[in-house]
Amino acid sequence: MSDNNQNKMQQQMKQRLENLPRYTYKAVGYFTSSQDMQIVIDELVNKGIMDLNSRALSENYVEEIYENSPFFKRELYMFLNSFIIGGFVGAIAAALVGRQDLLLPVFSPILSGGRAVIVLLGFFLGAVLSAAMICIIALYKPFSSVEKGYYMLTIYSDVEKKQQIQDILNKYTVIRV
Amino acid sequence: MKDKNKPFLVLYIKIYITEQYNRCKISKLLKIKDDIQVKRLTIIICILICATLIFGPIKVLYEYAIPKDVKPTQSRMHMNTGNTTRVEGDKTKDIAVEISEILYPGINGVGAADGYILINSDKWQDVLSMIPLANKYKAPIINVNKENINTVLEYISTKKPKGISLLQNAMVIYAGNQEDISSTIAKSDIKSYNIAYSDLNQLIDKVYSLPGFMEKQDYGFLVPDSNPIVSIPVGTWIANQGGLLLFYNNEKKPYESGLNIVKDTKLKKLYYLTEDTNAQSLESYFKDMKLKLAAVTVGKEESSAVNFARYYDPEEGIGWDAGDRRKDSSHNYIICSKEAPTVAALAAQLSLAGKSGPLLWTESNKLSAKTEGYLWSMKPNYWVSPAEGPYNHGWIIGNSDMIDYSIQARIDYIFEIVPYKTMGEQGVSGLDVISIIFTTAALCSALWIALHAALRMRYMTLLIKLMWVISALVIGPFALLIYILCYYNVPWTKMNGKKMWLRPLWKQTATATILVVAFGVSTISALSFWLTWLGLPNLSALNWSGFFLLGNPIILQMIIVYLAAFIINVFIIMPVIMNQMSGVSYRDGVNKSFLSVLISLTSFFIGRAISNWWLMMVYSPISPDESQIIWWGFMQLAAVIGFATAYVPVWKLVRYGKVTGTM
Amino acid sequence: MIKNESLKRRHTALLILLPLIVAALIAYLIFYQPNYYPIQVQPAAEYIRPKVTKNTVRIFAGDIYQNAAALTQITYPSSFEDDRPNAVILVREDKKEDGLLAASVTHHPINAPILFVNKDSIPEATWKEMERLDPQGVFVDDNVKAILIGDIGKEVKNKIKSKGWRYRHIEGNNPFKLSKNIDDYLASIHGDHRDTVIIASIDAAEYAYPAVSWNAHMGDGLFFVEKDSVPQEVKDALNSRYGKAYIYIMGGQNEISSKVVKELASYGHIQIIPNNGDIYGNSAGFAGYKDFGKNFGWWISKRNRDFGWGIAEAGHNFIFINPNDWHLVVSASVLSHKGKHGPMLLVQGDYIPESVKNYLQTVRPSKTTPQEQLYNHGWIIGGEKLISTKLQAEIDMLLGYEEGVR
Repeated sequence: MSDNNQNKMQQQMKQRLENLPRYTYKAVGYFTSSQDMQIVIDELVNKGIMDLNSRALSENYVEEIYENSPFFKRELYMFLNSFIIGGFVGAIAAALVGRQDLLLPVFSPILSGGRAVIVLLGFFLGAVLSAAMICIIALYKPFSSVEKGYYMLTIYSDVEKKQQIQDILNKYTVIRV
Repeated sequence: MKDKNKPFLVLYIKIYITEQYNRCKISKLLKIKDDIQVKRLTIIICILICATLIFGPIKVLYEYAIPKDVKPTQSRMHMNTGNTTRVEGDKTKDIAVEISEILYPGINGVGAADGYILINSDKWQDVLSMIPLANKYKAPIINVNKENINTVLEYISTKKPKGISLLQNAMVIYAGNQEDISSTIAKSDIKSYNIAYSDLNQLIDKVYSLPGFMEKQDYGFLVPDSNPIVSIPVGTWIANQGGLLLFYNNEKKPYESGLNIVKDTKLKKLYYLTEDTNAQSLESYFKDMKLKLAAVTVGKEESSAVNFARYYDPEEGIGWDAGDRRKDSSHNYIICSKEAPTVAALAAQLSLAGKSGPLLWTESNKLSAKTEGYLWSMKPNYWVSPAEGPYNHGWIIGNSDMIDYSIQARIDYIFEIVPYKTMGEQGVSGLDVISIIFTTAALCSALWIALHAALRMRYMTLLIKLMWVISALVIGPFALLIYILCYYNVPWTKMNGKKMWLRPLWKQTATATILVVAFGVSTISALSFWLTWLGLPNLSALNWSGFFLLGNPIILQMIIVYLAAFIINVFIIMPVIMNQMSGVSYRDGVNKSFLSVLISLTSFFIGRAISNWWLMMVYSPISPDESQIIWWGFMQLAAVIGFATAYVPVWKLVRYGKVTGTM
Repeated sequence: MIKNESLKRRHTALLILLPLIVAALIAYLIFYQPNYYPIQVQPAAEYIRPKVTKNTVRIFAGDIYQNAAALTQITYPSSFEDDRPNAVILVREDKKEDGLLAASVTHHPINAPILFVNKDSIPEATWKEMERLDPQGVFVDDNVKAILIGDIGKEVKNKIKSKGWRYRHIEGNNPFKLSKNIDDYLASIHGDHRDTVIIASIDAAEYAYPAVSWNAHMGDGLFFVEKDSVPQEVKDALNSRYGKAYIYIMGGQNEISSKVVKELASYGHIQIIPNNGDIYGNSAGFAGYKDFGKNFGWWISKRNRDFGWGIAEAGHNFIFINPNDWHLVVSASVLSHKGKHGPMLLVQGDYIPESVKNYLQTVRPSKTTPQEQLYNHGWIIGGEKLISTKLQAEIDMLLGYEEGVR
């Protein structure tokens, strides 16, 4: 590729990045039929929410969903829950180890730090390990409510319109993942 | 034309290196024929870096769990160590003499005992019941029989005891019913006092009626006669501070002798020791008496000694109180084998004088886990200098077949005073905890990102996937956060068949900085690990020309790793990334990436190097090496600080299109 | 293409496997204890049971090499990696000054005890102890396992090499040159020349004995001067300090002339360790000596100087040693490096000099409560001829509580 071409591309790229539409909110909904989706699209457009993207899911729908949204909200909640629960379990176990009521011989040197150190370690180790475990399991969670032939609608907008979008999506039978 | 705007020095370096590169044709040097081979090399390097950053912390864990360099035999000239003293002796008699020699060396009358208590019994109960007497009369206990009585008497006569004033200056108290022994004693010049007894009950009865014995006795301990593990630790306290020792039997009934004594005297408090809480029946025997009863539930096996060491009754000031609250005081421990209770009962005497303290049990061939945990929890640490103390000391009782040498060595290690900040190599301080958490989080984040990218980011090139994984290994959960922020709800577009993520500038900068972390800083971290493991270079010869700092191993290491990271990035990794992003050729890639790598890596390195120096050389009392988790903690903390210092320069680079953050 | 079914399979597999792995791990943690045990001790031919009393432990063996080994056996049980030293320091047994200077190298991060060698050979006792110690390697210096001090011949190096150990040789044919080289070596490791410096006279090196244990404990520099002049190497070394040095002189006017003191004053701040007129008073004076204050600062941070044991209360360790045997002084320095770090006190045969006795009286513990076990500990270095058993018993009494008090 010549230098000229290179520079041109770089300029193009820069322009594009500078003129980025600044979406601050994104929502995804799934529909069993295109008619259902059309009703929602109409209502969204009526409310002035224009940046929409829709497609029918093919055989390869798992990858299509992943491509559209690599992270799911439910995973954040699972992470937080497992972090906190794992943390508390770890902290309680660590407190027992600290009192020497629970004997873990391999962890004896940890007792040198004092009880606060042990509880802190127990909390975070428990939290990190359980969160990691749960999050890894959650990665592979199969899709039960979406299938091939369904329709996927992606809505981009400002975060101020979040409530409005949510209200519309809740009004109709929209499948959420 | 553009080059005019660059600072002169940068321009010069760039021209110089480009010339050098053209001259030696690095691609030929590396036998690279085309771009694909560079790409392959890049991936190999990334995988090596990744493997190093995973292997390092796992090596720490492995060496922690599976001790290194434990050799089955060792040749020694003596059996003492810095924090432990071994009381050698293979039979109870040897040990008894050894202990009395330690307590009362009696050289030409210096440090002599008042008298000696000879007991013709090898039962731990009999020995233990004499300990109150040993405390009262300042007389050590030696057990005797027909074979050794003569040598013991000879020994005593060389020690010139002062005589026990309460017993008409008797030098020896003999307890036992073998008449030939008592007659041997009588024949010698040593003035003696005999106690003939048939059973423990009678012995206690007789001992407690000795002149002056019951004076100032206002508390006592009631212990089981069938459980040495629970009963013997009490001996240390009685040896040091006095108090009565009474027994109860298997049916939880106190001995008659004990009950009579308690009835006749004005004891204030009686502590009864039990394995479990199921001993209420004992209390019924003392219902009608005006004395307080206190149950001391100590638990089973090694726990009983540990719990008695921790026990404290604030009301009377009874108990060693050697627990967390007194961690900052010095402590001495008498370490005994569970298999030799009589020896342990004799050893309890060591608390009569000098380095006194509670008794702890261990198995013969390995340090019992409970005791080990307790000793760790009492590990001494200092703030300013190890000369300030506190110091712990252990008496190890018996020959190495009674307590193995490795147990002694382990106890010595646990008792070693260490800095508060790091708690030594194996001990765990607050800093260690932060390092452990951070490292675990880094490994978990990397694993999760790897799985996530493999499953859900299929269009991402292998190199970019590796970038995220490696950056998680270097800056841990921060990389995970940036990863999620950079892909969550971010729209993308396709350019030249490549996916471009349309992110705001700050996220682009974060991604571009991650690029430096993943390929530059990770190289630095991985190389630092290998250099430290294999031994850092040291050029003390430089001192003679005045540049002593350049000879410093840490500074040399920094220079080496920086140069290596720079070269690998400019000549190998960045051209490949550039090629993947915008299709430039390898040579153009080198030219284009030179400046951006120089700026971003240098700015990163400045933050990292300064913080690493401060952590390693100034903050840490003893600079850690790669086998300690704290080294990894420091490495990651320094990388996070480096991330912060590199962010602004990288932002500038992104702003002017020199670096992209859209991958 | 990812199929939903394959996701389902992997999800179920993980749901079963991961909790199983976690459960197995927890079970393993409950039962697993790292194995440091057991180790069979083979008593050496010269195995001894030195006299132990409640507050003192005697350490000695046969000759100077065995004595040094007996002392390193106190400090380094070497039963697993972390209680091994990083290296051994080898010093010639006929070079007293070299030995005294070498103690500075003992300090962290080098962490190495001193053993004696001959110019051209390594005695068997030393060799055996080197094998027992099996050093880990000094990571700040190319993982060397031996540090050779002074004029040591090729044969020693070859023998070390034959073991596969790397070594560092700090050369210096005379003590002045050697002191400068040791100082430079340590400066390259610490990235700084220590500002606190001890100066003693080469003609009265006995005054430097207490400094040996301090240097093993703290790693400060030791330099020798002549009674009436400061050697050029020492001047260079003092000059290489950033700012002014803090110079502590060990010895009185008879040992170091006022001319020298004046000359030294141009390199920094000077203090003279109280010595009460003799080497015994010097050892007691140094044990109680403390100099604390400014050293180096740069706006947002500072480092203070903290020189001297300054021990004036109970609860410490002391090394009792007879100055007649300098080998013991050098090898006992390692006792101040690990374990119960403490100063060296000089005693003679069977009496404690008055100044040392007075010092021990001031640090004698008083009985408080049984829960507060404040005790002093004493190492008695050498055999009966150097410190008698009676003296050991006396020291034992002086270190413990006074009988009949409280």
